Amino acid sequence: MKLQSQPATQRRSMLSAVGLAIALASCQGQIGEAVNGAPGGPPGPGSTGAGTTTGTGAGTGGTGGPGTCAAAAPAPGRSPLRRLNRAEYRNTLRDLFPTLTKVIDAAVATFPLDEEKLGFTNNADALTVTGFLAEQYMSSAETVAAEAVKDLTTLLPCNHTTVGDDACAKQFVDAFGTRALRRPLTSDESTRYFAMYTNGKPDGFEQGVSLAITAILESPNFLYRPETGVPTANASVLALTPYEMATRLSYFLWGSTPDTTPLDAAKAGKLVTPDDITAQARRMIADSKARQAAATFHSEWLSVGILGDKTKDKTLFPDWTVTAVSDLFQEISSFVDYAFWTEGRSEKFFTAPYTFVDASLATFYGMTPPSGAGFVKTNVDVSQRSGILTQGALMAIFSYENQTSPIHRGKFVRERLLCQQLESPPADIAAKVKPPMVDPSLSTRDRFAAHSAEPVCASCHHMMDPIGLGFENFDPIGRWRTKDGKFDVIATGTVNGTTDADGQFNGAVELGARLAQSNQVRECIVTQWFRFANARAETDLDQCTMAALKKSFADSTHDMREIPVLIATSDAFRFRAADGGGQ
Amino acid sequence: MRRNLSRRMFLRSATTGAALALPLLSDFDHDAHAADPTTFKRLIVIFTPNGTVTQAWKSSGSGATFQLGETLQPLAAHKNDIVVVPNLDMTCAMQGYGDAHGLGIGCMLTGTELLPGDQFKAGMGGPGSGWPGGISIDQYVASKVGAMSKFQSLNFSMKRASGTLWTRISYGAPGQPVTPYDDPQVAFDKIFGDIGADPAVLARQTARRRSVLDGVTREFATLSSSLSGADKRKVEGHLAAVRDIESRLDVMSGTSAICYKPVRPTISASQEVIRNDTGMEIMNAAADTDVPQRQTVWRQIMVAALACDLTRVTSFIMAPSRSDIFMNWLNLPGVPVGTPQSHHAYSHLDNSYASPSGQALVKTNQWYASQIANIIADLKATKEGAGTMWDNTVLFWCNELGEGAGHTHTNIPFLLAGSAGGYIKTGQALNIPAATPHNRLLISLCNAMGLPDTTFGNPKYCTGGALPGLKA
Repeated sequence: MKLQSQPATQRRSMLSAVGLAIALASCQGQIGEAVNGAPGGPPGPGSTGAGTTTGTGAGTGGTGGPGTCAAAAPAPGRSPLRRLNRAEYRNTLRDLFPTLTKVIDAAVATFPLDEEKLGFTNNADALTVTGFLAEQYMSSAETVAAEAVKDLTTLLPCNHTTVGDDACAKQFVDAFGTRALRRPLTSDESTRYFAMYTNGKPDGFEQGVSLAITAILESPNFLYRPETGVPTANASVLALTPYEMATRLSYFLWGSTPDTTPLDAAKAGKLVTPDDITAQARRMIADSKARQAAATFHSEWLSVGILGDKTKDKTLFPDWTVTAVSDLFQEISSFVDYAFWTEGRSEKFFTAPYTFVDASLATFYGMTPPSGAGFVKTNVDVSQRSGILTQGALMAIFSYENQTSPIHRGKFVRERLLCQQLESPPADIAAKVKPPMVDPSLSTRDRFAAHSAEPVCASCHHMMDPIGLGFENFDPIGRWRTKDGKFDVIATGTVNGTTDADGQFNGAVELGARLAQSNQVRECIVTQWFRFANARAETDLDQCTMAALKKSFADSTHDMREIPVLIATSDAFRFRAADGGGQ
Repeated sequence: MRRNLSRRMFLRSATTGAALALPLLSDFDHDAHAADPTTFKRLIVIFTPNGTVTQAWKSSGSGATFQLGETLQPLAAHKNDIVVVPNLDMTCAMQGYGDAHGLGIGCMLTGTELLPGDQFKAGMGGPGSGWPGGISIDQYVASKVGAMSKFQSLNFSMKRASGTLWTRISYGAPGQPVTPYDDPQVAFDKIFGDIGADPAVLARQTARRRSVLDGVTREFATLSSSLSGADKRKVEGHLAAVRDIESRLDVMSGTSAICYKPVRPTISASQEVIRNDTGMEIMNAAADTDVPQRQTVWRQIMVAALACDLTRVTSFIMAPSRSDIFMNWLNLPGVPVGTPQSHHAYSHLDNSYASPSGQALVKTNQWYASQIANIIADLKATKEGAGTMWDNTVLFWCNELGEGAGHTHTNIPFLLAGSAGGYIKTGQALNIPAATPHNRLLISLCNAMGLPDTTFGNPKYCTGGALPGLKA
């Protein structure tokens, strides 16, 4: 059985509400992987609905009740072997060699790009290694090692001229190995890496040390994060070792390797109980590295990374300059950072009556420039803008060069905010229907009318266009407009097919208010964090974890800052399936 | 066997990038291989996307009566070196789930269907697919003829793009895409970096690498033995790549008599091709103005790498599938207002010969034909033994679609150039029945490269074996 993009209860209510059952079923895609051999089967979808989805009431099928999860053993789902992606590899090397940032960045810049899945670039299944990347790992390790040994004082834990070359090298190999592999070296490993030093030593002490570093940086135990786990009372479930937990926490919350604090805690046998883990997670979240990791999450979740590659028609939009792009990026980054770290509540994410502008962006938007220098929190006209939805960056990203794209704006809301995955258009679509072109004699709304008139289009597009057309007050570069060509903008829209956000709205501000109150949206935020934290899509085996996370998020009055901590102590994060969880 | 390298650790740096005029051969004996061209065949695979206008591609006749279609006119100077191969279907692309581009490009060089999976989305109603289910022809040939070269194969891509069905053409095994070089400077440093270096320094680097890789492969093996399923496959794939690096440590660069070191390119990778969730390219006209310059840079790297016998098999993705390169330098006839003037966009429109979008597609493919003509000219200009490098080469130009607008997998515009050491009868349009599976052309390519295969890819589509009329 495959995981549906939403619980069956939700789909049923959606279908009856919309009355396009067959078309919808064919349009909605599936997320995640087939899972085999779930022991005893997961609790039925009813448990998820009952536990976390309020207000649906419909369709309580399923075998499990709300109590099933609490009584059950930990159900960790899959734990695929994770390789460091580009960003994690770079961050890790920067933490291991803080003085070599430039060299490290230059090396990583030549790596092939990571493939993304469901928006995230850390998806374990998508991160394979080709011959080219294997070569880049080799060159990068050699380059970084050669640079590192140019400054032995910074690098070594001892003075090799007083302690003796070999003794100091031995200390270094064990200390550096522990940092790099995120656990103490086995005696085999210690011997092997010291032997590397010995191999290189005839060319000089530095050459010996650099060869040991090279070998460690090319080790699969460095490039991947293997987990052996330790047995639990339940034979089908393994707990993570404390070192493995330190590593998971760090890559989740910092996007990088653990510092010495969690490694020391692991050495002392801590990081086992939920309290230990919570305390360590809160310590890490208080560090500035967590701000960067959260920014990475938000950037990938909201597709902000592609802003820099958007070009616009120069004749129509001469204001689309490098400065404007950079300003819009700064605006959404500042907004998300504030909404998450300072505001916290998910409601404000959609309804905040402010944004962040500097003088140049204020001019771009036609706002009064703020008095302070740089980007300043500034109230907006709430009849036009509020929250994340009306950020100029998103409006520009989900537009074409010369026109808005109600399709992509609607699709963004569906997939990223409501967690409803849509299928791609059929390959032969172009042979059947011509895409709407810019036509001065029609408004955007009228040009897209074909999507609801043509059954082949309507089956999917009624999921996207009616939402996307509600953004028509925003032009292709994210500015407010009241005219679409010679036509007055009409920004009415409709949400359908959700558990609790359905209905008509007028403009993006009203849509934001509607999404702010939706449990489906709140749960989707949790789901997106889950995918980011675990480097995979949720599956049936995670139903109890998901149900518990969603309930705890609700109990926190939807404080988004709590989600990372809740995930860190969830079953999926603390345990692994002994059989791999259907890998 | 490892060649004796000491006498050949010579290198020359061309002083200008443009000159393919070769360094002084008189200093050196000819390489034994070069003296015997039949042992030195080379395969070049060129991919261009988005189909063609069949009417303008169509060619006919052979020998004196051989007429190139309008699209192929830029190749007129090399007419006698060309075989136009019509009427082939990519039968393996007509199975399973995927979009037309993904199904086509996956089947194109592998002759197999896509693996089941959900990694890549399908069109409406299907579950999607995984990667292609077989080794690609270039990688297969490379595995047989590439052992003597520093690089078993060299693979290049005009555009920087993350790995998807639409941005890769080569597969080392089922589900294992080969990442092409997309940064000319990185490629240059990797490929030619050793050339001209002090042999003692290189020897020491090799010894250090061997020492590290010996240990690393052992660690990989230990890790792999503790894993199963997808985790194990992932690590085994990585281990194979490490072993491949290790196996080539002793193979030195610049061993052929006609080797020369080109000038290091001044440009790095193109801007990344960004796609939205459904795999559609997010268009970026500004990023494409340097495409012609990049063609030249990659061609120079490719030809020099072949001349130096750093590889005998190379592939070049001139644009990814569904490419939306804006070919502003072509001054394309007007396509309808509101439609982006980019390759994939107009390939989707009316592709009748006379329509503006049809003409745009013809001109686009003519430009690609001219780029192929440039490669051929460079190879012909490089002397090797009694003839030129071109004598021992075969170039395979392929596309993931047949007709552009229809996104068909029938009558694919395949073209061969070069005789592969006299094996192929060039200067003709092949006369074969419609709907012949293209696997048979892949078999012919194996045979031309000296491999006796009678099937390639899914044997279901190999009935009849190599194509008739192709062998000289």
